[in-house]
Amino acid sequence: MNAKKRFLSYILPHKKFIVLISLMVLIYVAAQISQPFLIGKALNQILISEENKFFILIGVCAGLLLFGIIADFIFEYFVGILTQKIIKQIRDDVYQKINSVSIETIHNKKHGDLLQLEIGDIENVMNGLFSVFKTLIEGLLAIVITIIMMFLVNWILALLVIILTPLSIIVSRFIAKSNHKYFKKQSELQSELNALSLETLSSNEVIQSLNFEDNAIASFGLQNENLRKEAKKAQFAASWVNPSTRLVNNTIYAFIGIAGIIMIYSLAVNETVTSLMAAVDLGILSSFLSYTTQYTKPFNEVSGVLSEYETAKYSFIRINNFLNENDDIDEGKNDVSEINTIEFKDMSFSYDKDKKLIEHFNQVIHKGNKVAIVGPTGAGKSTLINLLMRFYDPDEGEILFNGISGVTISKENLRKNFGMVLQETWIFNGTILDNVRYAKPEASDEEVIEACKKSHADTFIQTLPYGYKTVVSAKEGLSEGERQMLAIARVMLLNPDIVILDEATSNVDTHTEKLISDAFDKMLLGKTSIVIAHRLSTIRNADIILVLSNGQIVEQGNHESLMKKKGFYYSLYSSQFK
Amino acid sequence: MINKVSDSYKHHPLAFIIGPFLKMIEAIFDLLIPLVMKSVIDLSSYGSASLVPNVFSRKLAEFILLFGVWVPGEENFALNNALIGGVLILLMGIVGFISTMVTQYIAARTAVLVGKEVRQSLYEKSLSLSRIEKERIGENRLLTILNADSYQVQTGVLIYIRLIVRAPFIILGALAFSFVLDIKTGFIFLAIIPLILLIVFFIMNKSSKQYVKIQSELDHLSTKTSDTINGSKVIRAFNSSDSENISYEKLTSIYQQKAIRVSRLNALINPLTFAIVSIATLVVVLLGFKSATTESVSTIITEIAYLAQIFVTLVQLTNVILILTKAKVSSKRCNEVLSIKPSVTYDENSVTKQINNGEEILSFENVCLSYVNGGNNALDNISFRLNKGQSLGIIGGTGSGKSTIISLIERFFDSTSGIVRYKGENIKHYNLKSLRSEIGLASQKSVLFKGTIKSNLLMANKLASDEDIIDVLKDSEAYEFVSKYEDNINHIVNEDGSNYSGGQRQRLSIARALISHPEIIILDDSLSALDLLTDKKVRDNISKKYKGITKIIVSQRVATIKDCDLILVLSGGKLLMSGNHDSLMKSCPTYKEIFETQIRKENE
Repeated sequence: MNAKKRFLSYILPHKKFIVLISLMVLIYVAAQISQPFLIGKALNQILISEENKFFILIGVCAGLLLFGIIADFIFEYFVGILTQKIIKQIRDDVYQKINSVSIETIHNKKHGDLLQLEIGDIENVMNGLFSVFKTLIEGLLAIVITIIMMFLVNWILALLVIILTPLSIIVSRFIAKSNHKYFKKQSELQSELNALSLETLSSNEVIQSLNFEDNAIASFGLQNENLRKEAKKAQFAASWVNPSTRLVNNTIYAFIGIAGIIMIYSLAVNETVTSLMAAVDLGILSSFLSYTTQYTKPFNEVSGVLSEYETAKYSFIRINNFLNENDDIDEGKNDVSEINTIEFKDMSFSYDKDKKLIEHFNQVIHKGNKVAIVGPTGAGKSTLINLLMRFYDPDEGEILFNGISGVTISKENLRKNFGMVLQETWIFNGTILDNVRYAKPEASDEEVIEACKKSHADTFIQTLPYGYKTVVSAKEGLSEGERQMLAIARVMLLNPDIVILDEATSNVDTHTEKLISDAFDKMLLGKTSIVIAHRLSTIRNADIILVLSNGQIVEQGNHESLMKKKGFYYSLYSSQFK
Repeated sequence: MINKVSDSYKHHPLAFIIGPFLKMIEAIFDLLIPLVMKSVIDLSSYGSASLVPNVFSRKLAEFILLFGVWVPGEENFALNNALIGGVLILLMGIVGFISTMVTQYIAARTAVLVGKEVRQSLYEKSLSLSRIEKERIGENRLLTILNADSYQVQTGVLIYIRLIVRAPFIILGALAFSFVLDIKTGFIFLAIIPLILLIVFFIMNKSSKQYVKIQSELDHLSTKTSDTINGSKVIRAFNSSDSENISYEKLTSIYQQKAIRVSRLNALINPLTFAIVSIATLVVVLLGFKSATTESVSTIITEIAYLAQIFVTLVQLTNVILILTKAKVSSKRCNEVLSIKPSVTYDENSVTKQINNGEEILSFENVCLSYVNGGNNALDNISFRLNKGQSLGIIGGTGSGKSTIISLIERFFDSTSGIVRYKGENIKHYNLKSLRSEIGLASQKSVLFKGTIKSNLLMANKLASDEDIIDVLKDSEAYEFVSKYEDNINHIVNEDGSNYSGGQRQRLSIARALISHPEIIILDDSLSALDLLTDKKVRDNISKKYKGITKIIVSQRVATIKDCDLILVLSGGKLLMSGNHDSLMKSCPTYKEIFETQIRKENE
């Protein structure tokens, strides 16, 4: 879907709302702008002592104002509601998209970019929408109605103002353009500086230990100086707005004043001229001078909004591009449960088509098997897990579950059989209880606590300020080892048929690791498990040990047979005694 | 480096005087322009300056007549005055514009200079903070102060120079003139000024409080989104995309509600002030009706012009006050950081020393450390001695104090009691720069910086050649993967080294620690993501190629540290036992247990 179509799909459902808003703004602007006109008329009645007409005019003026005031409130309030409704829709859509695209898509995008899309870009669109609805519509209307009113009052003075109009437009366009340019540059430099300070300050101990402070300060200083130069340009450029507006206003004011006075006093002597030129009196002059003081304001506002509109448009295009990403393909329809066999059949896979990873891999896993995958860092151990869980699908060959090809099983149905603890644990912002319960939302508090006891997380949870109700987040509150214990508790709670442990206890101290491993042994009785571990002690009793190196299965067998072979596993294993 | 924000203001004394002064010129002209127009009208309608009733207008009329006759002829009297008046107004406009633009320039220049100085000082100070000091302020808060609050201070300076004089001056001036023109209208003005101020302030104050709430809702959305991106695999594994979507929609609904509430509040400002000004205008007109003369009409015209000016300026003034209040709060927050006196300081009379192999390089004497004054000790009474060329292993569970010992050796902070000695000197008296350059640290988190592999290694030793770099990469077993990149050591490193795996990052940071050929190398749990074979190779390489280097190895794996000359077994900040592997196996049950669970069982 292109951006324009997408935008309309957000706007169109609110057609009635938009009509109502337009109506209100029309009433408001008309009431506001007719005021100087009516007051000017009323002033003339003072001069000719027409008491009744004077009061009628003032009454009409007051009535119009009342309408105007109410309409203005409704207008501004409804613009807010409309903007927020549209924004919520966009934000929900982007979030759902994050949950429906493939893991690969997320992996290829930078975390910060995605977050920027959901937060920053949508805020930009929000500001843009609000400004367009509010300022742009109001400003343009004000300009048009002011011009109409001026012509109603006196066409000669009106023409004079029109002739001077390009002055307002040129000045405000020029300012808005250069502002936009400089501020864009400034915010780019600002965010570069932010990134620099984030990187260095969050690891200032490393900087200190490397004696790198002076260099860090110098490079910050350089960037800071660049920012200062651009900021100066931006701030100075922005500061032209008000003084130039006043200058233009004063110029028009002087011209209209001179012309008005001349028309009243000098030309009034000659009656033919007066009737030809349309009569001017003090009241008319008053309205005119009021109009001129207000006249340039909408020009500035409109051109100011134009740059916001540009920013919003750019952000919306980015959002639209993301929403156009393909959803995760899942053509699988089959269901599978009580998996008895998993068979890798002549399977090949690589993330990067230029670099081969796993090739022609064959292996059968039976129910109740304990499978261990070992090998040096980067050998492709986690890749096997990614394929089993269908985060990725094989390039060639297939994985059969109970003889059914994996790609024909829907991801949801397949994954419900598994429980996994990954190397990089995931803790979200919420209580300990919520975090563990994530695996099984319907579980009672007691079940959750029971699972935490099994994973020995209970011990440290008890020492937290609010126990199970303590709020933890992705970055704060827990050590890596504690986070792993919570992830293990999740799996203990879920009690799935097949358990996957990818370096699940790498940051847990040895004593606790032993206790957890005993608990797992109990839970895994009769279940299939797939374990990745560096500490070979944890996997000695595995039924099948797959030894990976550079994506290849170099050896497979159980501990005894592999030790006898005196191959790669043997050297890995014995390295810890040397 | 400055110690408080106001020091930076003092570097620009003239700007704070000249800027506002020049601005005053424009303000005076702005006030005079409607009056000049009025005098021209009066002069034309009364025909002579002496007949103009109002004193002020009369003086101005006389002033206009001083310019003499530009258009000759009695019948052209009005034309003549209008021309002079018009030119006067234009001139005032132009002069006012020029003087204002000078002020705007001064304001922009001064503001960004102050902003830069504050930011730079904040950065230098933040970089020198210890972990304890950083945690006390909060790392996120520190970054906000550095990036956002410094900007607020800058904006404060900008607005101060530009508007501190203009806005109050215009309002008071317009008020004064209106009294001069007509006392009754003067009182009306006097009444509406505080009224508008009150309304605008009340609403702005309320809405800015609600903005804070919206901001925290936005933070929730941001945290949730961030969690979702990080947990994309787990969410899919638990099949919980739908429930995530629903819970997110709840959050956006709350955000929506709050945002709409604010927009309802803000929607009140315009109509209310508009109403007040309109009512005032109508009252002025109604009052004028009673006197009903040409004079009163020209006065009304002028009064309405002032009213418009007051209205615009009042809105401006409330903005000025809000911005200055924010800037004041921000400068306080900046001062909070700037005024910190770092606990780890350079000693003027510090020493550096060379010692021979076998001499004592490091010792702890009854060292205690507590992060909070009077709080629990993170390290409790630790003592040990290490000679140059020896190796030290530190083992213990999570939270046992292993890394805290390393922090004391690197002087990231100082001990609460007890003495740490380096080369026989109290470490506090040893030259800090030399200390840190004599120690190579591969820290737990293996931090890499944006740039290239080469740029990361050069951080530790500017003078290293490409060959040196490749050498240490080989020693840390990193060259095995680095050599596969087409651009070799110039391969790019993303922020946080995110394009490398945990094990790769560890090997790169070990290489960085080695490249300066330090006297002590510290491997703080920096082998944990490596398989045992690679772990062993790295340690062997270091022993073989860096003869005489003192090794300090922190690990949870017995295999990694069991060959060390001295092993410290830590638990809960206490030193349970120290000794070599054999003696610990005999005397330390905890060590024995760790060993057995990790190794002995496999050896059966």
